[in-house]
Amino acid sequence: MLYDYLGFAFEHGQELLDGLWITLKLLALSSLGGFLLALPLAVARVSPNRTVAALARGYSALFRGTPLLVQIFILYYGFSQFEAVRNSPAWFVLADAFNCALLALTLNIAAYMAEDLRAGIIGVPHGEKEAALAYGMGRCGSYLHIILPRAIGIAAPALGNEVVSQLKASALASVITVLEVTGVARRFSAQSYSTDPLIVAGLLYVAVTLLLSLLARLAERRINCHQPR
Amino acid sequence: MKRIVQALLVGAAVAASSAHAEEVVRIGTLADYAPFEYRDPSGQLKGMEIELGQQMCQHMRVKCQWVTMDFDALIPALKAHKIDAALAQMSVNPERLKTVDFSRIFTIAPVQYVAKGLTGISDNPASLRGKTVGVQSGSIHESYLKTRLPSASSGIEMKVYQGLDQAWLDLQAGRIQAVLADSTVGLDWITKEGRKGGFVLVGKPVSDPEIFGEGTAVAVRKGDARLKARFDQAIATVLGNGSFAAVNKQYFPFSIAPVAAK
Repeated sequence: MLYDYLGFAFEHGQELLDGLWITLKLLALSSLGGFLLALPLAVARVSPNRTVAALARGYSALFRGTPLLVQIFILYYGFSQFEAVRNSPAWFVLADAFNCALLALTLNIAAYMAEDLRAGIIGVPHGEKEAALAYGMGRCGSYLHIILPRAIGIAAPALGNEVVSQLKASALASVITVLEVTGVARRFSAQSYSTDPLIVAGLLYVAVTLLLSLLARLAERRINCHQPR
Repeated sequence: MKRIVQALLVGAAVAASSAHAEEVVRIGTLADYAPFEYRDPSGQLKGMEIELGQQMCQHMRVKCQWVTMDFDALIPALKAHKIDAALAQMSVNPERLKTVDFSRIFTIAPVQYVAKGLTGISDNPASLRGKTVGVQSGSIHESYLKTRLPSASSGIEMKVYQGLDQAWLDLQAGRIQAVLADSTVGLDWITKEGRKGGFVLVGKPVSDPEIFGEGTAVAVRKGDARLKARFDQAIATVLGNGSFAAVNKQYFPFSIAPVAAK
């Protein structure tokens, strides 16, 4: 039994590694892009300007309220049906399956991370916000130097959790022909009529998750190093 | 009192035996392989193989229960006893015979490329160099491209789809330049949809008996000789009594019955 899995892993090692590389690329790029997008979204969420706050809330409702699978399908198969889209510059991105998956994953995780960061911003102690103002910082300055760094620290465990979820979400890229770990495993599974490749894929995901949790813990500790524990 | 109990027991026994008499055969098929098997907008399973399958079940005196799934899930589902047979234009080839048994040949299934007309793409592999060809996962078409025209030597990229529907969408979107599929299904899509975009069957049918086999049949679990024999019989019946030809005519202007005297 174990021999079967190991045998499969060795025989198709190169393809599996290629798949793992694509999975990691999807994960790293979408998490990073999503985080950068989530920062302004979170600030907009707590903005006193109602229109800005409503727009950010709408974004969050749209992406958290629909299944990622649907988003991926619409981006890849939906838009491509319109001649206008195919002739537009957007086609440079949408023509490629990997780019479509990356875009959907990024937009999706940004919505979730923005919620985590919003909670972080609300959780920054009032005294610290007032101290920033007392030092003569404007709204921009206090967000940049005081509120956001603290909010990121507070939201760090939740953000780490989003990245771990994102690893599994990236498996959905396989439905639009991206050959990441799940896509590769499904293909071998279809050829060999067995579920062994899927089990090997599962083990790979577990291994990466363990590694991610470790990294997240280290990052949390580093971000919050000034905090008494 | 005793009489009543007796009567009830007899009644229960009769009910049990009549329930037993209707044997259920679970047949795996697809939901997106028009015109052989597909769901109409109301969710009803329709198609040539569904119609003929129903008739065969009547001849076999069993109740058919259709189960739809992806093509590449059919053989694993057979092995896992989730279904008892697969009727989904599955071609009989040596590779599959290692894992499952097949009934006698049910239909022939020529294989052909679908592409835009006048683009120079044909069945000649050289015309596909640098192009991307879509195939369905687990199909003979995937095996063919992978073993006969690997991209390293042929320069033909292969893209594998869970369902053929998705391959058609990508063909229309221009992400792929051709689809390798059964001519029958290709023709059906061209008639309904592809013609508008200028898509046609290009070149001659591709011949490769080693991979494509001589036709499609009903797959059953390895060693399930009883069900295989019943399907053999039922296929012989629908081929012999004219019902195959009658249904065939509704779907295709040419015959896909297996070549006689086999």
